[in-house]
Amino acid sequence: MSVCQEIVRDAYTNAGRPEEYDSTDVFFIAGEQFSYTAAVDGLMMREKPAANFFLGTFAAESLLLAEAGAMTGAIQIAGTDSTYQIPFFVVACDYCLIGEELYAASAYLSHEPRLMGTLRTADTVKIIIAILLFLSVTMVTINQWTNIEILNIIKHIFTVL
Amino acid sequence: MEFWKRRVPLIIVFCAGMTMIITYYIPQQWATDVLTGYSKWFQVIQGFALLLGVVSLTQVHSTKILKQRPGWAYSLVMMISFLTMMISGFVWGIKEGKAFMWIFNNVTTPLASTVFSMLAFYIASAAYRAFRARSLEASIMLISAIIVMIGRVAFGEMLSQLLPDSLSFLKLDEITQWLLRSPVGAAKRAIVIGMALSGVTISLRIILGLERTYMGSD
Repeated sequence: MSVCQEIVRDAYTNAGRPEEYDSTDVFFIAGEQFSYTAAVDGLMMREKPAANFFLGTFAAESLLLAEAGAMTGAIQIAGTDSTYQIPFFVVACDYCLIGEELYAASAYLSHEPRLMGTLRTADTVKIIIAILLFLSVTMVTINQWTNIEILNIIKHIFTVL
Repeated sequence: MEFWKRRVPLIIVFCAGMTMIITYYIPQQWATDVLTGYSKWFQVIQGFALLLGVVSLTQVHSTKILKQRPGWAYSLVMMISFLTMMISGFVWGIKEGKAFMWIFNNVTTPLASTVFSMLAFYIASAAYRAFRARSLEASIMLISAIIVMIGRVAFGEMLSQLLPDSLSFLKLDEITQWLLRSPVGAAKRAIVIGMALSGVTISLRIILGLERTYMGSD
């Protein structure tokens, strides 16, 4: 929570409005899943924010939060690494960051060279993995028909790894 | 002061992160013991972080009650519930049969189940809004959703039994299984690969001190 308060305070300072920061705006709600969900739903219904950002790990509460926010008419942007919750956010939110887009968002917004560099590295490794996957599938498929010894050895290496 | 505020946290993060990475890949008992020790430390730190959260919670809600800001009645209910649970837990303990567990089993759990049950209605309203055949992609999603929803319930199985064996590939439960296994499974794996790579880069950035937003500004 202290880290969140620091980040929000820095955001206000960077935007040129340090006097508008209120430390009570960032507060702990609950450690239980549905207690937290009920509290946030109530906050959204009463305070009617203009925009909701759902970023992080979510479980069953994803649709409860997104639908409650949709009922207030707020614009909603979501991003999660929980693959089972992505469909709910895609359906209920205006914009959804899927998978690694959540991690790439900071690089996309700031264009900081360090962040762009890590993004480029991740993309390069993804291409390498895709090529390896394609070659592996091709070799295993050919091996099914021909039973060539070298392909058996390569398949065994990948199985062990 | 610069050393204690900026350098020491970076050193701690680097040492802890590298220790976790290295011991994870060493199949020795001492490495497992180190990982176990770290887990215990994390639980202790988690407890203190929860204490900070409780202090924040109390501060925010008590201020709201004292100044009678809009919605202060909800804060009053929250504080009464919080103090009741805390006092009953500290005074009588949290074992089965005590007041704390009675309140947890008969109030907290049913309330959580009630909130969870609202999910069914929210799914219906989200589906009503989302499953419209506005474009090709939306139509594909609509048809897939209908097939999966019917194929996963007993009604779909009943419909499938009406088909002859020669047309078994058209059975709804078979199509459902194929949809979930092949296109959905492929997409999910692609997302997981991308997220895993991004997670590794973010973790390395934090461990190596390139990402310092958690420490606040200079």
